[in-house]
Amino acid sequence: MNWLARRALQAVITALMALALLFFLIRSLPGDPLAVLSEDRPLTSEQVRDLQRRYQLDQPLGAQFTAFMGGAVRGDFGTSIQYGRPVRQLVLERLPRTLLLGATVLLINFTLGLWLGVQQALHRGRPLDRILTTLSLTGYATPSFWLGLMLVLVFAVRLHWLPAAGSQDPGLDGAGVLTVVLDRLRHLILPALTLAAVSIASSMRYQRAAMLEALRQPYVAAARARGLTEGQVTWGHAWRSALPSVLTLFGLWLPILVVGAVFVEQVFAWQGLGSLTAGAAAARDYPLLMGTAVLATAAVVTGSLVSDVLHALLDPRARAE
Amino acid sequence: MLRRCGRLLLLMTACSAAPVAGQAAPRRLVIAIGQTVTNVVPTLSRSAAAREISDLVFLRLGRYGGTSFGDRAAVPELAKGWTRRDSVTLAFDLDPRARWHDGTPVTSRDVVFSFNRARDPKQAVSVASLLVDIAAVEAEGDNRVVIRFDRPYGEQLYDATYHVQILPAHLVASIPPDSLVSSAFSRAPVGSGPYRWDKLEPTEYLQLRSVPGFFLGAPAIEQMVWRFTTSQESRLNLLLTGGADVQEDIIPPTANLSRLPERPSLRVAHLPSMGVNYLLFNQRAPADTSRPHPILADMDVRRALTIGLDRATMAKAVFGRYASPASSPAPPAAWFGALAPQPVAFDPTQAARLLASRGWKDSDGDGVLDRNGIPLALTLLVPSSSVSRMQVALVVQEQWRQLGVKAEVVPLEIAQYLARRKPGDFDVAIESFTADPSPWSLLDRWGCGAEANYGRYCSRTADSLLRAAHLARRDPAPPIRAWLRTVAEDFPAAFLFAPDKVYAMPSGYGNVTWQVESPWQMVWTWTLAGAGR
Repeated sequence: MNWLARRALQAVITALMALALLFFLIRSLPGDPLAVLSEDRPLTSEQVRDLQRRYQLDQPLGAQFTAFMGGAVRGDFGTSIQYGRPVRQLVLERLPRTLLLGATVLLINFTLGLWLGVQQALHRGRPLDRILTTLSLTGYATPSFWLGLMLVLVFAVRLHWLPAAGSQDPGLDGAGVLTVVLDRLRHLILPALTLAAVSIASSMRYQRAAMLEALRQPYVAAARARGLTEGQVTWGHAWRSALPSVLTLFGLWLPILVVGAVFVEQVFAWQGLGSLTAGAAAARDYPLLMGTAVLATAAVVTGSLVSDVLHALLDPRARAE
Repeated sequence: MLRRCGRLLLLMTACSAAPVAGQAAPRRLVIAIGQTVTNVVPTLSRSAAAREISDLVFLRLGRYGGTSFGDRAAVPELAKGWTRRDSVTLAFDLDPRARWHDGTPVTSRDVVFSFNRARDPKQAVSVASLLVDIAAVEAEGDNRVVIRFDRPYGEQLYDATYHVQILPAHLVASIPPDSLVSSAFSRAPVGSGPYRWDKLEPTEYLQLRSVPGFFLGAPAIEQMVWRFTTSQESRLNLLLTGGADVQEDIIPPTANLSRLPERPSLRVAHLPSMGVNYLLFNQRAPADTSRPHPILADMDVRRALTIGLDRATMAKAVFGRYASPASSPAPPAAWFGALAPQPVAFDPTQAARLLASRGWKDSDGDGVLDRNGIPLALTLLVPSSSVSRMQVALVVQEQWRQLGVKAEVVPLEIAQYLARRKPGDFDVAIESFTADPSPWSLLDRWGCGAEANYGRYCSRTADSLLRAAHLARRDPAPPIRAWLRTVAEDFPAAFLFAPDKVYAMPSGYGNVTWQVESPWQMVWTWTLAGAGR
C-alpha cells in the first residue's frame, strides 16, 4: 500500500512538473493567439485590449500560470480563443471518438499483437516467424496517412464497402440502436485498422523477445518435464512471466493514442483530440492547447502508473524495487 | 475466416446504409466543408461557413441586391418594402407573414433589439464598426421600423440591410450578452429563415430542416446538412462515395476534377468569388516601420516585380480555368469590380529594364541583382495551411528568379503568419482577401493608417477618392474608378487573380441560383428535378 501511495504521489508531481513546463514552453512559441480573430476583419486596439483582459493575456506569466492551475484544479480550463467556447466542452465533445478509436487499437495490439508475438516466439526462425516479422515491420515502416489513403481508396472509393470519412452518417435520425451501432462500427474499421497496422509491430516484437527469454528459463523446461501440455507451458508459465515487460508498452501507448493520431484523424476526418490539438497549436490557442495538454499528461502519467501497478501485481519483485 | 469477415462487412453495410424502416428517404443536400461550425447565431461566429449557414436561419430586412449603392441595394426579405422619408431616414415595413420558427410573429421590437445589439461593440465586435453611421433605430408600431443616419450617403440601405440579421427579441433579450454564446438559444437557435435548426452533431455535421410554411415560399430541399471535414482529400472521398452530395472548393488541386467521373452524376458549378489573391508589398522596413523599405519603397521596383510575373499562367497552374485576372483590390464578382482597370501585361523585358534603371544590376555574377552591395532579396511570407498560396509562392519564387530577384519562401503556421504580418515584419506576404460587397470595406486594407493596412500603403489621393465615393448620393462610379486606377498604378501589391468558388455537385437541380457573397442563401428556391436523396 505504501508503495502504491508513493507511486501515486510521484505521478502527481510528474504531472505538475510536466504541466508547468508545457505552460511556459507553449507561451514561448512565436505567434499571436489573438491574431486568428483578426484574420478576416481587423480588431481595434480597444478590442484587442478587451480580448487580452478576457483571456488574461495582459497578466504577467506567473499570474497566468497561477490562474491556469487554479482553474485546472476545478476542471475549468477557460475558453478557447479560436472557438469562443469552454475548453472543457470542446474536449469532452471529442473525447469519446478518441477513446473509441484508441481503445479499439489498444485492444487489437494487446490481443492480436501479443498472440502473434507469442506465435513468432514459438516458431522462431521458421517461415511463420519470418513472414510475421516482415509484415509487421512493413506496417511499422508505412506512413499512417499513406496506408489510410490506400485503404480508403480500396474499401471506400472502389468497393464501396466502408465509409470514406467521419465517425457517423448524418440522416440516421429515428434509426434503431443496432443501425446506429453498426454505422459507428463501419466508420471505425478503417481508421482502427490503419492505426493498428502501423503500431502492432511494437507489441509483437516486445512480446516475441520477452517470450523467447521466458522460454529459455529453467522453470519452463521443468514444466515440460512435469508432463504439462505445450499449451499449459506456453500460456500458463512462459507467457505469464513474459507479460510484465510487455505491459510497459501499455503505458507508452496510451498517450500516443489519446492525442497522437493526428494523421489518421485527418485522413478519415475522425474528429478526435489529435486534430483538435494540432489546430490549437497552429492557432496558438493557449487555453485549448493547455486543456489538451492536461489530458495528454494525465494519459502519460496514468498509463505509466497503471502499467507499474499491473507489473507489480504480476511480479512482486517490482514492489520491492 | 476471411469469408466470415467479408460477410460481416456486407451485413454491416446493408444494415446501416438502408433507409430507416417506415421513413421515406429525405430530400437532403449534404455538403462537405473544410470548417467546423458550432454556432450560427449572428456575430457569434467569425467563420465564413457559419455565416453562410446563418443566412438560411436568420433573415435580414433585405437581402443584398447586387449593388451597395442607392435604394436598390437590397431585395425585400423580412421587410416587404421601404420608403425614404428624407436624405437621412429610411422606413421599413415588415412583412406581416414573417414568423419565427417557434410561430411568434416577427415584429419591429425584434428589429430594434437586433440593431441595438449589433451596434454595441461589446456584443458585436466585427459588426459595430460597420454601423457607425446609423444614429437611431426606432419602432413605429409592430410592423414598421425607422432607421436614421448621421449624414446623407449612398450606402444607407446597404448598411441597414447587409450587416444585421434579425434575432428574436422574445428569446434573446433576457440572455446576458456574455452568456449568449453558451446559452440554450445558441445550441438550438430560432430564426425566421427558410430553414430551421435541426441538429448539431459536434465536430461531425450540422443539419437544418426546411420550414414548410416559410412566408416567401416553401423550400424544395427538405434537409441541408454540412459535414465537417478539414482534409481536402477526405472531402473528395466523401463526395465520390456518396457520403456527401456537394464539395466546396474542390480545387486546388485541379487534379481533383479528373476524379469526378468516378461518380457520373457529378458536375462542376462555379461562381466568381469576392476574394482576390495578391502579393502584398511592405512599404516600410520590417525591422523599423518608421523607415521606408530599402527595396520595396521604390514604386518602379514594385511595378517591375508585378509585370515580371506571368499571372495568367500562374492562375491556370493553380486554379485551371477557374480564376480571373485581377488588377486591383476589387474582386471581379463585386459590382464595382467592373470599374477596375485592365491588368498590366506580363512583360519580363520591361521589368528587367525598370530594375536596371533603378540601379539593380548583377555586379557579382551570382544571378541575383544588387545595388550598393545590397542584393535584391526578399522574404515571401506564406501561410503553410493554404495549398493554393503555397503553390503560388513557389511559382513566384521561380519567376522572380528569372528576373534576378531572390525570393525566400517562408511558410508559417497561420498564427505565426498573422503575428508577423500585423507589425509589418515581412517583405512580401501572399494574401487572400474576401471583400464585402461595398468598396468602402476596402479602406480597411488600403487606407492610410487603417488597422489592416499591413503593407503600410498610403495615398491621401486614393483615400479622398474612396471617401467621395462613399458619400456620393448619385453615381459613385467615377470616384471608385479613379480610386481603383490610383491604387493599381501605385502597385501596393501585385494583384494576381480572383479565384472562383468551385463546387462539385449532382446534376438535376432546377432554378439553381447562387449569391456570390453567400452562396447558399438562395438554396431554398432550388427545385428538385430528379435530384435529392
